[in-house]
Amino acid sequence: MDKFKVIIVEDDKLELKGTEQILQTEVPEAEIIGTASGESDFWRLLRDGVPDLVLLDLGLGGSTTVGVDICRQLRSRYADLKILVFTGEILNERLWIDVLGAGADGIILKTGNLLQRDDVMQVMHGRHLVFNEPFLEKVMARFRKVVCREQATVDAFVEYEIDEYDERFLRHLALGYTKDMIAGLRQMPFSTKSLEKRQADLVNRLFSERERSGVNAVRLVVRAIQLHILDPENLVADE
Amino acid sequence: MRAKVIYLGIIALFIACSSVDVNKVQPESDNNDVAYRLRYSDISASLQAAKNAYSCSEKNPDGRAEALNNMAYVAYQQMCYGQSLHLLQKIYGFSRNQLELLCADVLTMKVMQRIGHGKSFFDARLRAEKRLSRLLSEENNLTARQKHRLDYALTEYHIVASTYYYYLGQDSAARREIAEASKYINLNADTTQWLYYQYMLGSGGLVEGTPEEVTLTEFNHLFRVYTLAKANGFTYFEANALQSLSAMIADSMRAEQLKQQRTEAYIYLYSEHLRWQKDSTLSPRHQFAAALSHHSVSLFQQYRDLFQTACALRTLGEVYFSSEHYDEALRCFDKALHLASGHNRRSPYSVKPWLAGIHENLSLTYSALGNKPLADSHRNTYLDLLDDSRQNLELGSRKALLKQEARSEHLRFVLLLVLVVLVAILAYVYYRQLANRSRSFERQVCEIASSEVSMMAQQRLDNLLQESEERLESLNEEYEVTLQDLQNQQEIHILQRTKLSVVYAIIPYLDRVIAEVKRLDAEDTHVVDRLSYIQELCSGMMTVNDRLTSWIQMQQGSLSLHVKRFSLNDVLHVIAMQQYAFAQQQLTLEIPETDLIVRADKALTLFMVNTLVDNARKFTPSGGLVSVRLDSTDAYVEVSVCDTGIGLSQEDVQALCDSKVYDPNSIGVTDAGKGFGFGIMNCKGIIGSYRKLSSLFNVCDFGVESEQGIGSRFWFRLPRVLPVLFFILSHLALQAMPQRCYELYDSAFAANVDGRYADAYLLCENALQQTEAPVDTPLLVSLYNEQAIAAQTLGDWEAYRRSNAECVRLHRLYSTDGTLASDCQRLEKMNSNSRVLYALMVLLLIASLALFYRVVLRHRLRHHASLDVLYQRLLSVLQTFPENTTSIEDELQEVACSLEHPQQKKSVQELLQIFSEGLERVKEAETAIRETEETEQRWRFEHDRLYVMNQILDNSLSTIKHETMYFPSRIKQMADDMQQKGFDAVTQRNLLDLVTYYRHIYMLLYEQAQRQTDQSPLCIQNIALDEVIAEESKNGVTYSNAGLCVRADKTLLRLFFKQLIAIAPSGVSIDAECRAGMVYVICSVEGEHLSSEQLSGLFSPQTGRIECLVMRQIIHELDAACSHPGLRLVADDTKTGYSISFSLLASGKPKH
Repeated sequence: MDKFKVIIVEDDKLELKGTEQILQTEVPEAEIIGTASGESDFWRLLRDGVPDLVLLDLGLGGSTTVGVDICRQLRSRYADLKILVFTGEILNERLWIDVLGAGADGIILKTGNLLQRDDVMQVMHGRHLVFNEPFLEKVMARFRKVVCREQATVDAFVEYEIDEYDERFLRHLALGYTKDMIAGLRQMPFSTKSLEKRQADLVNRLFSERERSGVNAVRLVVRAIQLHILDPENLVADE
Repeated sequence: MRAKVIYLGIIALFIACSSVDVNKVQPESDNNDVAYRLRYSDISASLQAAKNAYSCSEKNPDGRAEALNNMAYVAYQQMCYGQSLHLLQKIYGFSRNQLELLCADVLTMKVMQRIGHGKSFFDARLRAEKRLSRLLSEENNLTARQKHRLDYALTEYHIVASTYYYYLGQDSAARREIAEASKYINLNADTTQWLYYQYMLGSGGLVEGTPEEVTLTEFNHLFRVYTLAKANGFTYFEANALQSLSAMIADSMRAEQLKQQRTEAYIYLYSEHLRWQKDSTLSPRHQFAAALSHHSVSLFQQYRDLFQTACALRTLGEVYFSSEHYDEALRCFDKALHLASGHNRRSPYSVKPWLAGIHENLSLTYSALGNKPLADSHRNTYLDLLDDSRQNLELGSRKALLKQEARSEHLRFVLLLVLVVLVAILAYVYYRQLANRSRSFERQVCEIASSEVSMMAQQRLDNLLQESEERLESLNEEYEVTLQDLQNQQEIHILQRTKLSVVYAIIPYLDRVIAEVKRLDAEDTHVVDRLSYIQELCSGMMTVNDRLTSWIQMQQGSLSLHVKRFSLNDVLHVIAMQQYAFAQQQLTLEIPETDLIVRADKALTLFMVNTLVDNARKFTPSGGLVSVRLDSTDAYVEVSVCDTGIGLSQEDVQALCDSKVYDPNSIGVTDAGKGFGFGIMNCKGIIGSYRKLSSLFNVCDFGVESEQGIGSRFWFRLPRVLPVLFFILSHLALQAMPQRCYELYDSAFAANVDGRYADAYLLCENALQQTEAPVDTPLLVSLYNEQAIAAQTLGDWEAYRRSNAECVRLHRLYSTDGTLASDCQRLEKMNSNSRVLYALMVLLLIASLALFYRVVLRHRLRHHASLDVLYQRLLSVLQTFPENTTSIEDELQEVACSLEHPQQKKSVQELLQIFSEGLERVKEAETAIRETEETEQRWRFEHDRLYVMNQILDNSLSTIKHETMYFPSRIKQMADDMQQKGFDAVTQRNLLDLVTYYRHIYMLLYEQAQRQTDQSPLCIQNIALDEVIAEESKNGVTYSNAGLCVRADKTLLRLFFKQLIAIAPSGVSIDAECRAGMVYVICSVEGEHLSSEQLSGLFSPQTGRIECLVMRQIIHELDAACSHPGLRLVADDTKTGYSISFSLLASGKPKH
């Protein structure tokens, strides 16, 4: 690949030195045309020449999240410019979402193997959402959690023998419907009495014998949420 | 009158029946005489003679009783108090001889005095008094021998009483009794009693006059006793006299006076005891005193009197003590204690004052030898014994009874007169009353609104209103204080979070080091660059560490523990609120009730118990039991949280107990059960903080006991309040102390505990000047006690004696009832003649009551019932107000409805309106009070939560500092070695392991600390910028642009400006402008120029000022709370100095 121009935005001199070393040793195609330790430095540098890639740290001096704003402004001014965020914010996940929303092409966390040739080259080849391993591990952990929760819902339906009427009944209870109101729903062809019986039956299924005494509708619904029978993010009434 | 005659007759008959049987001749009298004569010279022979008399007195009960008296006396001398009392009981069982019974009473008094049973002492004394009055009235009929025996009993009776009062500190009563004894003393008739009397006078405290006169008089008495006892072989008195003389000569002033004014006697005694002078290292005077004591000890041993031997040893010890031969003194006191404890182990009747004295001496001696722990231990025992041996308070009830009797006596006569008059005029008066009542009822109901009762009720209503308003006012003040406290804690929390951000600044460096180490390759051309880069990174980490260390050290003490005394019950009460959560998991939570008081930080203690209980709940399966247990010693309270949970392995227990840092994820039995949080580490940290605070908290400790599958016990110890302050420091007494003195006392106590004895002494002195006896006697006792402890440790014996004597005197005064004996006598008398009068009175009362009812009550009540009931109801409603605030309106409404007369109805309705309006206002005030209370509680809760977090963060930061400090330099050194000597794969691996381990530990500790940061959202609101800046205007801040509003947290913004002022003390001028939804604030600092490097590093953890780092943290927090709008904080150069600019979200008008 041809040579390309890079500006590094980094406020810590020691870290800047390390990043420069990585680029020099591992990405010889990269030509560092300037480094900036603050926001004003960076905009001044940009006036002298627009690079192909900006390696951007999120916190600069006292402004700890200014990188997000810089990224947003850069993207609006230079649509083709590649922006790779290289940050030590390894715990602040909210900031990752913000900076990706602001138009960053990828996020490299300053942990694990740090910045590698592949990461830089992928960005330069026009790939979006370039992340290094520590970042992906975190994303995977979240993803695994979501998938497992979905599987738990399926398992719970089987284990506790939940049919669609049970689910509907519990969902509407969670939404604050009374049994009379639930009995009035079109897709619930049951009387209030038989709904009461269903509730007692659900209590028997979802609670062990020792736990059953004093379980009311609220406790029952909470239990259903705990067992992933109900998804609290997806509580919608029928019709 | 007739009853009185009958009563007197019965008394006369009783006296006649039990008149003294004095005319019998006792053939055993010889043996008894021998026993009596020998009891002060040869106790065994005396006992033998008494036994002989007893065995040959089967047919003569009087001789037998005398023999038993003699045997009982010997038992008393040998400290067999139980046996002595048993023998005396025998006498009471069979003898009718009033003389011997009197002797038995007197001996009983003697025993009771010795073992400190005040009540039994007075019982015996009362019996003795009765017998004496009878015996003295028939004195002329007594034989010479009986007369002699009566004199003996009389002298003994008064001497014992004198001794009793003397030990209670009632010197005047003691002198009165000894003066009484002198009337019956006759040297020729009874030498032993004469010696006893003389010895009592000489032994101290019973002679009046100037100190010089007292010394001479006492010496004369003692010298007389000594010479006469020695000449006649009365070992007991000879030894006693020597002991007292020894104490006298040990006192330099008194010795000098005696040398001058009683030269011959002094020289005689001196020459007599030359052979007893053993220790040549003592001064001649002390040698002499010690010789006397040595001789005394030897005589008592020969006489086999354990009690007096120990006393003489004590005197000997005191002589050594006053000559500063502390080791010798200690040996004597130890011997005395050995004898005393030996007796106490064997006998159920312990002589506590005796033991107490020895412990006091031991405490002083250990103190002089510099052994503070033992000195304290003996002082505690001394104080406990003094407390145990004080006069039995049960006697107080007798006095109360007496007062009651006196009152009823008075009342009886008044009642008798009143009853007679009453019966005569009752009918007439009552008729008039009823007639008036029926008229007045109607009038009173009409005027009820302006009546006195109604006015008073209205007054009470006003008071109620006023009270509510005052309470609201004081609550508002409390509220302000709490809010202030909360803001302080919030500020501290931000400081702590800033520190944490500095801690976090190392992590990127560490990651860089790891990445660089992984990339190291010996063949690589960049290897030198990489190694030197690693070294630079290490230096960077060291710089951050150093900054953190200096910051932590600088702020040490600013976050002090709030140590105070509190009842553990308060804490456990809060824990008990979790019962529901436990029940949800089918667990039982057992919380005990307790009255134990500890000295610690309440919020942290609650945190600790809560953490442990919460852990127990997590790791105990359904059906299990979690219980809090309290065990206490004098020094500490051990709080344990026990569960029947899954338990821990021995390795885990060891990891929890021994290592400062452990990985919480590695603790636990099963995978599911792993994840013991950082709670235990935090609890250990808190205990560590206590121990660092003061030596008072040396008892603090933390421990774990656990067995897999069976359960665990986590425990910690806190210092208990207050093992030293024995008798008075019940909770109530403490509360009664005046606040200022109490505070001084508290400071003195703390000073003593902290080892600042001179301060403690002065604080006590200061407090003593502010207290007034007798209201504050308990406080005085405590203060003197603390002062004595301070003086003792400072080695100021004179001050110690003064304070201790005052402490003991006041304690006795506080618990003594001086008039008890005479009161008890009067009580006896009054009881016996009151019953007949009672019966008469009751009959008269019944008759008059019956008359009342028959004549008027029945008809009149029926007649006026309805109106009366209504009126009474009205009155009772008004009188009981404000107890019936909820029902008064209904009641008044009902009464108004029941009344038929329109004027009456209107009057009651007016009343109803007044009360309805008043109560409405009270209700409003109460609602405001409740709301303020709730808000105050909420702020208090928030404060406590932040306070605990801050404390734990402090501990965590210290741990990070201590546990990880060493790594960067070690890594740097390894990199250095690799650069100089080259390296292979193994070296590289070692370095990587080290760095990885460092990062692991560091992250672990960082995460622990991170958990303690407040995750609750900030209070983001619209704030007028000029309002906040105006608060700081006095600190040299000028602001030119009014009217801008920002969205921020007020506390944080204030703290921001505080930091700004801290870095620019000469003044800051502030300008602000609003652009694109943001407010840009430019703070110009004039006169100080910073280089561009300084400016760029102003907010860096390596180089930035602490205040700047706090400002950075605040902007960071605000940025996060406003969803990351990218708030700026930048430092720039200006012509006249430099400026710090920051941006905040703009807003509309501030909400108030």
